Amino acid sequence: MTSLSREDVAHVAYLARLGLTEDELTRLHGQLDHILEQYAVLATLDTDDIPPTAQTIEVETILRDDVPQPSLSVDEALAGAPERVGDHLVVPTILGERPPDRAAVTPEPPTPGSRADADDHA
Amino acid sequence: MTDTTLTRLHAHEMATRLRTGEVGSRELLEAHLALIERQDHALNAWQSLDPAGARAAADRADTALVRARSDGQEALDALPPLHGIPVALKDLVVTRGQPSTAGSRILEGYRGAYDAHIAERLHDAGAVIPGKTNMDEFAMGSSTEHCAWGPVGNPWDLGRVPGGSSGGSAAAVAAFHAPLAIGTDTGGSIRQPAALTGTVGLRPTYGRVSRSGIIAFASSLDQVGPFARDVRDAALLLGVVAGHDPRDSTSAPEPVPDYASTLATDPGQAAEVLRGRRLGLPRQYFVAGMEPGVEARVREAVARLAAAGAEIVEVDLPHTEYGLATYYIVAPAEASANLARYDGVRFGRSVRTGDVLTDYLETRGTGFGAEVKRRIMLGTYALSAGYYDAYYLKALKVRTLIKADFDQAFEQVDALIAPTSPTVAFPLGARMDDPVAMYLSDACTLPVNVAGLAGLSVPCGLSEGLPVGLQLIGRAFDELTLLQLGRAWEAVSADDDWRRLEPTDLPRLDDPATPAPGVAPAA
Repeated sequence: MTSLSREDVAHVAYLARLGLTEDELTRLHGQLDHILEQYAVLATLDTDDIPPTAQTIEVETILRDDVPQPSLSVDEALAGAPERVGDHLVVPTILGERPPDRAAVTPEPPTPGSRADADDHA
Repeated sequence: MTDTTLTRLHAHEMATRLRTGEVGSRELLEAHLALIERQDHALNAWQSLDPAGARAAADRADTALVRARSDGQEALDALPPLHGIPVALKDLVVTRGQPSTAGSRILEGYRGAYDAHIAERLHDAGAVIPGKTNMDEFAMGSSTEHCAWGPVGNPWDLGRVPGGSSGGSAAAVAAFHAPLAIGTDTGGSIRQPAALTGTVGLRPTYGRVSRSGIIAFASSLDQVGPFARDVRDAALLLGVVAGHDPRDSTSAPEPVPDYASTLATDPGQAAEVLRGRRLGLPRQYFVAGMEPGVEARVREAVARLAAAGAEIVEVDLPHTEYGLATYYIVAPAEASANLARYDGVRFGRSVRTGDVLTDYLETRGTGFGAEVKRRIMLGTYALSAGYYDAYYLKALKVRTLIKADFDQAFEQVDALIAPTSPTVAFPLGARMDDPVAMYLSDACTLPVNVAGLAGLSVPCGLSEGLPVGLQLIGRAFDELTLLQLGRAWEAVSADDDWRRLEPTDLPRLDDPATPAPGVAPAA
């Protein structure tokens, strides 16, 4: 199998969204190459007619009845959020500039009955 | 009774004394908390403690015990077996309102929003949870050195590792900080630390215990299981956590036997199960690199099981040598996908720079430790375009061959018997700069995970003063046979001198001057 270049390592780190220092990149380059060498042993086996095993037990898709059940409250679900406004997570701006005043884009809190959530069907 | 005496009891002995009223749950808890308080500076087995929650649970258990005693024997018998007994949880188990870090900076300060299924089961069974144990970050490691908050020591030699990744749970049980602990085993992370600390550790069959609320590492390999100081205690804890859970679609709707009650108390009766049992000795597990002392202890144990009536047959598991490469492709591939969720947006560490891509890179680059980064890199590479077939798909095909080896062996034998770890506990730092050497620590355990089977490690003596583990491998969902065989081994070796020994370095844990593991003593 192939050996990795330093550029390959940097590219994989980018794909995995891992920010690495130059030192980390150097160290990983050597280590990953050594680990990949261990994988070479698999190439010696003829597996053309062998089916892959991704899961060792038979897993059926199990569906539950479509009825509302108790769940986490918004406060519980957002308790670990790095940034929160009202009932919302604040996420980094993905398109365009981040508005200078975040309060300006905070939506109004939903009025009762405006959300098609489970409670409405109860 | 002094606190030292109380912490030396097995869980099944605690259960008896709690029912007679000879000891209270609160009293048991305080004895363990006092030991942890006095010793953990030198062991670092605990990641976080919850004395208030544990005291409240112990007091509730005592109230129920008082009521049951006044209601009579039937009420006492109806109490669940772990009622009032301390059980430590590996910090991979999410618990409501409590720190749940997976040993990682990326979850520093994070508190669980809900209880894992097994935590609910333990609460319902009346167990008392004193806290969470230290571990290799995201369960990736074989030494409990890849920890964001420092390594764990081995109670038999504080300069050596306790194994990993559930090293905190193993060390806590070995040092009498808890009679029972929960660990997880993705490639050997229960069995290998059990072997290195002289404790009993069981990895159940894939699907036996729910992983709902267990922080995911490699989803086709992860399982949850018990640590204990004897096989009967391990059976008690497995009985509480095993069984189907609708919240884990991979948890199997298989019936759960009453493990503990089928294990004989009487040694003669316990050894009786060996008669006529066929045990397979896999030739490929006595590998180059195995320490002679380890091989000697394992072969002596096999000979004594044979003398007690078991039939020993040599078997072949011809694809064993491909296990390591298969595992170290499949596990990192699954990990790289599972760990994509740590993006700094919804919970956990979050670095905000104003640019979303930089946020991801910084959050993950500063939040994950070196081993986790290595695994994410390996997994991302193995799954990336152009390499998927050569690495990931190839590994899944070899996985089929490894599983078929076991299927064929189990046509001839009831269980397999092998070493758990090729070596005894190694010195702290010895394998930290050589990932491949670290990965080889699990050569004898990871094929079991690849094939989705159950494995039990029981202590079988010492080599150079350090514990050696004997591994029993069973058919899928046949934990009962493993526990019976493990209990039989305990009966056969009950009078051995090594069984009377406590871990060598316990007195050093009592010395306030003993430094944290891996830290040089003050000059």
